[in-house]
Amino acid sequence: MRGAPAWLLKGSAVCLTILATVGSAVYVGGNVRNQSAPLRPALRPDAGLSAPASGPGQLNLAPGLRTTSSQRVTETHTS
Amino acid sequence: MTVDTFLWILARVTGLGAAASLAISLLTGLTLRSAVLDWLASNRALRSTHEFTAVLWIPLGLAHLVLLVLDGSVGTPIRLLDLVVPFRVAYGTAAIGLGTLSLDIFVLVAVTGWLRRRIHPLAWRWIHRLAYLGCMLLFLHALLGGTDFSAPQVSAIGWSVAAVLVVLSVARLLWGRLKDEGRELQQGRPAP
Repeated sequence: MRGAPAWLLKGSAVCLTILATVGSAVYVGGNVRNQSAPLRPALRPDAGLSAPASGPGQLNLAPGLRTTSSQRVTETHTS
Repeated sequence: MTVDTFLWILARVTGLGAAASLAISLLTGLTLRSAVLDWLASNRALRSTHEFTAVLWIPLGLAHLVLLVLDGSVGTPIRLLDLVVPFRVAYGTAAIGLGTLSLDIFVLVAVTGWLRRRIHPLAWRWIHRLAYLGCMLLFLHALLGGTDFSAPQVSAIGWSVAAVLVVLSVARLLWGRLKDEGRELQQGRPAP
């Protein structure tokens, strides 16, 4: 037979697939949340991916600045 | 970690694994025609490996689909019909739809591969060539929708593998068929 036998090629294919899958598991396990992912479906609040709840002695930081639809109360040079 | 998060992680892992095994399948299929790995093994061994790779990518691909259907973390879940009919999912319609299209193509290629003896060689060959289209759609699916494809560690490997496969495909187009193919056709076994 010329060259590598079929069983060696098949074994190499299995090893490469296992290596790629295990490598993917290691990477994904370390990067559960990927903010730069192009496809990020709306997650349910109880999906386990929301921000951790604050406990005693913990500071829960969240965006506090919100827009409003009410009338403005000041006039500036540009407004 | 919740069950949904675990399913989501597994879906991503199996998707990447399925893509890797499909790349191996396409590589071994291409080498049958381009003789790039002629120095490594005989055409018979490469053909046997190419057929064997279905054992690798089909379970990983099926696991990817099942896990995405079971994943309840998304607001609009993927239903069973969405796995067959493309562009029906409410979010990421194009990205997920391309994955569905590639799945349809790979199912067709795999089923006709098993029924090869009962199909006219010319028809089988043209159906089998759809695998190139399927791989392109799969790459676009990963590029547009892959959660991890935006990461440099994953995208570097993905783009590199895609580049190798494109170069081999272009070489196959430019330099034509193997000289061995004449013998295979005479034996009624057209190369993929």
